[in-house]
Amino acid sequence: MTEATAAAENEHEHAEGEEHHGDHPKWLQHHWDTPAQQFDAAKIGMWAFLGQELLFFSGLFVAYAIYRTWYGDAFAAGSHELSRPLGTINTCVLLFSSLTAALAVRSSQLGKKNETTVLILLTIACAFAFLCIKYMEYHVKFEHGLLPGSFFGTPRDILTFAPIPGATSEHAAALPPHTHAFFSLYFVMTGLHAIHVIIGIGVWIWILRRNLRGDFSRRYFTPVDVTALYWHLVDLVWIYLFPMLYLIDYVGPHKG
Amino acid sequence: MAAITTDHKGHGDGHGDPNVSYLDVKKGIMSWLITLDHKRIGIMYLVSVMTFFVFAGVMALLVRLKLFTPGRTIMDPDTYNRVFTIHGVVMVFLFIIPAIPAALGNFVLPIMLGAKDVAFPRLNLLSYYIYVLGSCFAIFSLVNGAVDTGWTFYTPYSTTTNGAVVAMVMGAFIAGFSSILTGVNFIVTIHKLRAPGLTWSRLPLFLWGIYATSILQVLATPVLAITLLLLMLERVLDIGIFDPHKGGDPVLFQHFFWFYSHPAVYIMILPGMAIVNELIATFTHRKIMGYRAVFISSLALALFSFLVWAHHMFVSGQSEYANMVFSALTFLVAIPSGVKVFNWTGTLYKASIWVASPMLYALAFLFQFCIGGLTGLFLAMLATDVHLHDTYFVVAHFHYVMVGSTVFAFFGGVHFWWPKITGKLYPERTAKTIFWIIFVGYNTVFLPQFVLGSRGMPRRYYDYLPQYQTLHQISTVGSWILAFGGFWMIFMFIQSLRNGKKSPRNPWNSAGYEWGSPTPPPLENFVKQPVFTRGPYDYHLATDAEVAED
Amino acid sequence: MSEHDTAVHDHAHDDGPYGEAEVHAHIGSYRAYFAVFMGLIFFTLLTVGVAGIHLGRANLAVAVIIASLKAALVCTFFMHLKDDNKFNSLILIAAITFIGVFFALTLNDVDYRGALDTQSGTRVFLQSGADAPGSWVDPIKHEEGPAGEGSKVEPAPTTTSTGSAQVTPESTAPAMSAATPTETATAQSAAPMQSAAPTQSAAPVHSAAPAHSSAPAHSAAPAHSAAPPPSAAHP
Repeated sequence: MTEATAAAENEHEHAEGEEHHGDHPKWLQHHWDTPAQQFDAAKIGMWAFLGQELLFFSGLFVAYAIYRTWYGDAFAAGSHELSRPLGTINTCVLLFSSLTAALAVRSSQLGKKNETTVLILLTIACAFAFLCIKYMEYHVKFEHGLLPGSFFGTPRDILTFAPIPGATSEHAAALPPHTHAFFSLYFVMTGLHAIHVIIGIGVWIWILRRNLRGDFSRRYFTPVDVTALYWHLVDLVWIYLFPMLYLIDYVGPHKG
Repeated sequence: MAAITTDHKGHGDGHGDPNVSYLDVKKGIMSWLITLDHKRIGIMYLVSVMTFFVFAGVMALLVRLKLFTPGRTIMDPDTYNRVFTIHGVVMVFLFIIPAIPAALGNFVLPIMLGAKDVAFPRLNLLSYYIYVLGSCFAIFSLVNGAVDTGWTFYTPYSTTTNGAVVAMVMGAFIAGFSSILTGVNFIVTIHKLRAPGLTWSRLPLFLWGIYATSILQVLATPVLAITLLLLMLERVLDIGIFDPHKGGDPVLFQHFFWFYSHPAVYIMILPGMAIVNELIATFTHRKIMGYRAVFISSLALALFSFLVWAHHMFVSGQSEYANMVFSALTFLVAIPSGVKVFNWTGTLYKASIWVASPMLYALAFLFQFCIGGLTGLFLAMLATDVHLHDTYFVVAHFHYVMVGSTVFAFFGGVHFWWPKITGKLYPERTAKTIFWIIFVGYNTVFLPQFVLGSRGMPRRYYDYLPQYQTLHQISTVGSWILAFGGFWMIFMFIQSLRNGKKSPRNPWNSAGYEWGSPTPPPLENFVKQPVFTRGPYDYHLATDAEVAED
Repeated sequence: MSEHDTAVHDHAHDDGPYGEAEVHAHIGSYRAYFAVFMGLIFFTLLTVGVAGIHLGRANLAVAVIIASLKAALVCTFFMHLKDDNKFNSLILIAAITFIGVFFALTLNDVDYRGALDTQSGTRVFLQSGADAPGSWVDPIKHEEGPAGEGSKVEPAPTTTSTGSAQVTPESTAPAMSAATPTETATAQSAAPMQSAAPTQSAAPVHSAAPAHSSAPAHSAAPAHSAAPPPSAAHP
């Protein structure tokens, strides 16, 4: 907790220029010699963590590649059930949040606290917008019974997960065999991505709080930087998810 | 001139008195549970993994006891399936993977680097509690019906069987994140916290091994995470990705599982090899022959481990192309392994070897690793593997690598660093006696299993034909000898804690960096910031004072 | 990108007491970040546009290439890899390399099952004899390709019920591996093991499995000889 306690005092100390190597600023943990060492370490650590995130998602992409090869027309049909306009808008929203995240890092590097606050708030707002659009999409899929695995074909309520009385499953039944495999992957991939977005929102709120408290300065902006790295990764994953899920062309004639 | 000098610009930032050992800085249970000190976290890991080791060891004893005679004896078949599964899952996920990196590595790594702590001390503590959380899920599973799938959780059986599969899989999933975060922490620590003078070419080989292991932990474990997550979703939500009824492919589960679990084998063995480097160098007072070749072979093993996973699947029905490619790639692994054994043997050649108790374990490692490694080649051969797959031959092979190599190295490491960790000595003569009991017991258990397997005894079977009984009985008797030695060893260490003699600074006269600090170390490991001016094995450059006991 | 024209080469702070050991981070300009963003939006619209053009199998390749260009933009500029410690790029490259290995070696299996030994890798549905997923489909005999083949000969999709279709499990042990006689009927061996175990508690639990099936999980695997002749898979 050393770094979290009080940066305002630190800034004061530094302004007086009385610090020498023996006295660590409070944000510099005791086992680091210099700010650069701590900063580089945090970046390497975050990149290593992002490496594991990439491998984590890669399993889903491998499964996707295999089942798309096997069930090409089902994947194309499933993809056409998704809303391309909403997907495109969501992509742009997420890209914009990535921009504001990158700019938040920039402003914190320059010590512009208020600007950082605004940019982080914009990032969080975009993240919520993304989730709202995602919810709207999920809502339609649930109502049409376009659900993973054995739930496929039964329209359900998105909140209670109870089957909707009186709803028909004709919509799903008209799709080619194995379309449920597409929706299994669709929900697992976008769901895991959404969980990452939600975690990202939580971290951004924590960063926002620390920024408002004045923890960050031109000399210490590491948490903003690494959080933005994480956020860009969430964006990266979506950059691949979007064309793979929403933009599948017909592979062969539809036998529906 | 001391070769390890101290930097007089040391940071007097008031974190602990350098004359008080880390054990005495603070007292009380809370000072352990919320500590950020890598040494205390390492010890918490050590206690935890040893607890699970004993537990899973007892499970193994039960399995062996059941197999003493064919037919139904002490347990029914369903219980038997659960007992060997618990043995496997707990040993793999809760003991052997964290055993060396998280327990011994945590303690030794920063000291060897001349650092005050690991790069992210809070993350380190978090990793420990994530591990504890994972263990809680595993324990929850045990008391709620346990799992009978084998540690591999193969679908479609694991998605259809009864029992608390989801809880156990959740436990392994969570424990995986502990492993990932530890790996991240160690990579960063080795990159950014090396003391002045500690160049990459002076890095102790233990750290090279831990470094290679960390890469695997970071890049392979997430695939296990996604695999287990899909398995849980398959069970809970029936999503059908591995279910042939719904067009899924169960063999794909095996691909996913082994993409992690084969590198996991190297997560287990690389740290064991890493310890052996330190032991051989110390007890021969020599530089490890071909330092560069040894660390490159560690990195090569880490790389190759990603390329060979489907050699576990030769009879799964995967494509013949995959079989051939994976068989060929598997033989690559023999090269770096051979380099290591060759270099260790070369270091021992004509050396004056001090056969202390840790060194005995290192020598046993060499012997048993050769058996384990060479029998691996039989299994890499497509033609022989069809015969040997899923027999006791495989069981014996991987136990020679996992137990005969890794666990022996782990024991060697515990003996070697015990004085460093606790500041206490253990009775050397007793330790040697125990070693011989364990060595004899261990080989009695597993050598007959090679014969059993090659004669066709399938693994994981509850029952067997009468012609296998003699070998099974020899194996079971061996397990009793092994258990006796194991329990005696634990008793010896507890006795040493209570009334062992105080250890000198450097009881093994080692030139290793970690012995340059006081024993047991103070809170920040060194009295002053060390500056390394020689390699860790440069006995010709080490001063008498450095390798003296005190 | 017009990064180099517009970037302001300012650095985050070098006037602290640590001098050179202060954090030195490259600071890009607003214009550069916006240019990258506009590039990303352009590629997004491009990939949506291209998806409407019928390119057959090339559609996926084009989509992946465009996505990779976008990813490269994000990594290079937003994630600062351009000015960062090269080791961070190495981590990314290593991760991508191992993902590539994961893809290549897994697809080397699933795309070629039974390619050499057509009987060994062929999986069929027990009741209908139709190809089950993962089967090798001879491209000469079946010019429609694996996807069309699979959906053509399969029985009516049983997407909502799991019980009706009896499916051969994926793991087909080699026929000669049934060293011990497999006395159980195929139907029973396809049932989950726990139902078989209590009734034969005196017998080995795994008696339902051929001797060399790859795991107890695969105890459901019948010896291949018990399945219908594989030729039935290719009507």
